[in-house]
Amino acid sequence: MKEYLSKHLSGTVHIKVIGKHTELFLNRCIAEKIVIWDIKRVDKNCLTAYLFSKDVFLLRPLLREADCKIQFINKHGFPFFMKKLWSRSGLVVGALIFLVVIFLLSNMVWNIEISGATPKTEYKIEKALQNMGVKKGKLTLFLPSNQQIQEALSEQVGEVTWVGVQLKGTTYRFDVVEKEIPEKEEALSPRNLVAQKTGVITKIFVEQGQPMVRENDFVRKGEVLISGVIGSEDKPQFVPAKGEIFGEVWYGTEVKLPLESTFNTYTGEYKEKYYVDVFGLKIPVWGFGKVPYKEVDIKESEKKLRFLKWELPISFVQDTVYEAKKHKRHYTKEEAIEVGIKSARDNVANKLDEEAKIKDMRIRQKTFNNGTVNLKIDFFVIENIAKESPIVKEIE
Amino acid sequence: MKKWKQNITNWMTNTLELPADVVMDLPRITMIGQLHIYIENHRGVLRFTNQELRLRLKQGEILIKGKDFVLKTILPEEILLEGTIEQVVYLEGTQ
Repeated sequence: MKEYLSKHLSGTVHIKVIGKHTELFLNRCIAEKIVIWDIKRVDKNCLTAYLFSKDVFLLRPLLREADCKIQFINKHGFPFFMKKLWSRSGLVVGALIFLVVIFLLSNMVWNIEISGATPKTEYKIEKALQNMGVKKGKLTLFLPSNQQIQEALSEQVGEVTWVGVQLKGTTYRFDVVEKEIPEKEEALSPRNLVAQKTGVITKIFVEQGQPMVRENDFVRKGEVLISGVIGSEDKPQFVPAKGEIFGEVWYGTEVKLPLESTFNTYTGEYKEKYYVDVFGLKIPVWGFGKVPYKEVDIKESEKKLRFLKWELPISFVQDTVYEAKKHKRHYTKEEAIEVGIKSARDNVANKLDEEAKIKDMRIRQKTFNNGTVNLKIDFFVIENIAKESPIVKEIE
Repeated sequence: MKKWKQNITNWMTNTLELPADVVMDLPRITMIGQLHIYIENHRGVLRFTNQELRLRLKQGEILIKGKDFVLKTILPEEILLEGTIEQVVYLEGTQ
């Protein structure tokens, strides 16, 4: 193997030796330590052999001594191959251009598929994508990451609840889930409205059915509010109960708030660094030098390079180093309580639907220990507590 | 004198059990079927054709006959011959 390699790397020549004393020539070669192999007799005055191209110049005195002549039959090996290539450099350049073109084409966006959207939203999504630079023929290397695209799309296109972004080879796929317009009333089956929470009724509004409770009644969870059974007891009729029943419900919350806390904010300063990642080795390409920030937050986005259908072990990495600033916050006890109440209120409000209203609140407990404030707060909320529950007809 | 030296080396190989080719500068010939023949300790090529190879030895010559001979490698003291080997003959050799 080693021999094979050296033969190919250093270049060999196939020669023809013509003369009367070819054996003498061979012996002289041995004596001069010239490596010669695959010697074949052609006829009485002629034999062929191989030797390294670097030894050819040493042959001249030997040839004179042995009264022989040589002819070159062929040349093999790497140096000759290179020479040949050089003389046909057009071919090499063509091959290189071919590789580069294939490489570029493999990393381009060739197709954008949007599925699950109505034509109108599809058009909007296309527009939004174009603004972001996601177009046919763009290099995926310089496009925002899938997550960024996803965020931007859900932000810019209001009709969309969720977009799945996938880059499959050279195709961008968008799976869109649109916000559904509430459907028209379907045919309802007979049902009761029951309480889904324990509370005190404040307002009753019945559209259909038999109200079972009055204002200011206390109801427990699961109690029937509006019955779907109407008519006399002998001849009951079953209807879907409809209506709204508002009740006062309380929500218990608990808040913990440290009086002193540190947190990071971005100053807006950032530095970008680019790397080429080859087999896990990060080679900096752009953005050298130390980062002059004390506190940093690094966001990394990685783009894999592709060749045809294969993912190369090479990727293009963009690190954005944001300068962060540490902040210390100190609350007095009063401030802490205020902030605590506000955050608890926001928390509760987030859980409620649009019709609900926070009526009142009461701090049930406040304790201070180890520099944290513990608050237990009850909120009194007025909201629709009715919930549908189908009537199961009993067959007697 | 020469005879005496020969006797000494003969005695040495016999009593000390040293390999004869090392002590007495004899050729060491390895054959693989009829395909290859490998000769160490030769002293030069006397004649090489498709059908025969004659090598000089320290004492006498060796003649190899056969068909389609190719000298695969040739080094100062070694030769590897390929082809169909039919005969190996020692000429004028006295041991």
